[in-house]
Amino acid sequence: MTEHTAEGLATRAAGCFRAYVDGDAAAMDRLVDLLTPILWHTARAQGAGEATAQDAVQTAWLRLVERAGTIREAQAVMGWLIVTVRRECWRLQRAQSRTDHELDETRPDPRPDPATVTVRHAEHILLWSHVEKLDARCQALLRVIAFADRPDYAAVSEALKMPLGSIGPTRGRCLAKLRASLTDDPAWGGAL
Amino acid sequence: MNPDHLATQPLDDVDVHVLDTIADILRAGDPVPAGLVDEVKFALTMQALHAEVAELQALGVDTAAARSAEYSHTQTLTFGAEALSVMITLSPLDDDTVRIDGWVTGHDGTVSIELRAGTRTLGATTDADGRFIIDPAPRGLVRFVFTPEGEVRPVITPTVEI
Repeated sequence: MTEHTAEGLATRAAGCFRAYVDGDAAAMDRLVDLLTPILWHTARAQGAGEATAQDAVQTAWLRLVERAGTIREAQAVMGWLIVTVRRECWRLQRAQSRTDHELDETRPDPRPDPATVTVRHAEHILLWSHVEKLDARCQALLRVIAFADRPDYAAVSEALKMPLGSIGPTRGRCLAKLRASLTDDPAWGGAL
Repeated sequence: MNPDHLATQPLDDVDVHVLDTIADILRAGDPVPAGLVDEVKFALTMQALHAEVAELQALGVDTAAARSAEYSHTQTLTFGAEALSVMITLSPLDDDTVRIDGWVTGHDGTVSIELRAGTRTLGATTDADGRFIIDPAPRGLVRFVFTPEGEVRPVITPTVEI
């Protein structure tokens, strides 16, 4: 939840995309600036190694431009990109597991890699220890949601195939689990 | 606390704080690689221009040493595309830089050359014989973009280590 704008990331992305389709070529650069962080973390949350994650993000952008004419609903562009990155990671990871002797750097990380996440502050260490206790799918969801805005929560969950199953910006299962886990930890109260 | 009950409640400020903190942790611990955004923009520009991707046809002399980026001898790279062909000779200057001597054939007019090295871009233009020099050029992973004068469609090379 990087910026708490009322309109959300998906809406700002839609604005850029509409401007691009209407002929403003620079609007695509703004869209790339806006969404590359959430797409990077989408790929990494799928357990993609660095090289794979970069490939998946780049491929998603190239596809978007190729298919810009077929995307009718600008509001759906962010979700479309997240879905495309997720599928591309899955495809690349499957291809790699078939040729497992390839370069180390193109191999996916063994798990969504909190191992490479350097946690410094005390509050961060505490929070991350609770995040790591969640199942892999919940961890993946929260790692992506964290880069969206509040109004985007449902769309991002949907794009990650973890729909919230209710209308409105409710917490959902994963954030609720994390919240319960934090609330049960006496150390957490002091960290807030 | 019962997670099932919590799940159906609206997000509150604590949730927002928790998610913000997760984002901070990831931004510090797993940042978007430097250059990814530029690389994406470059790829989109090349796609929009229908760039032709050249093939790396030959890697001369010290192939193995060149791959380890510790070579000390001159080596050559040859790229082929429909629009033009390029031969590049690399002469090491020091640990960080090389001199690039290039020769573009297959196109009569001037060709402008862009060397993309990470976030840096260096330019050159061919002389009457199709030759160009980039000196010094940074070592590392690079790609070349060749745009023949009067043409819109550039030729790009795959990423190579120099």
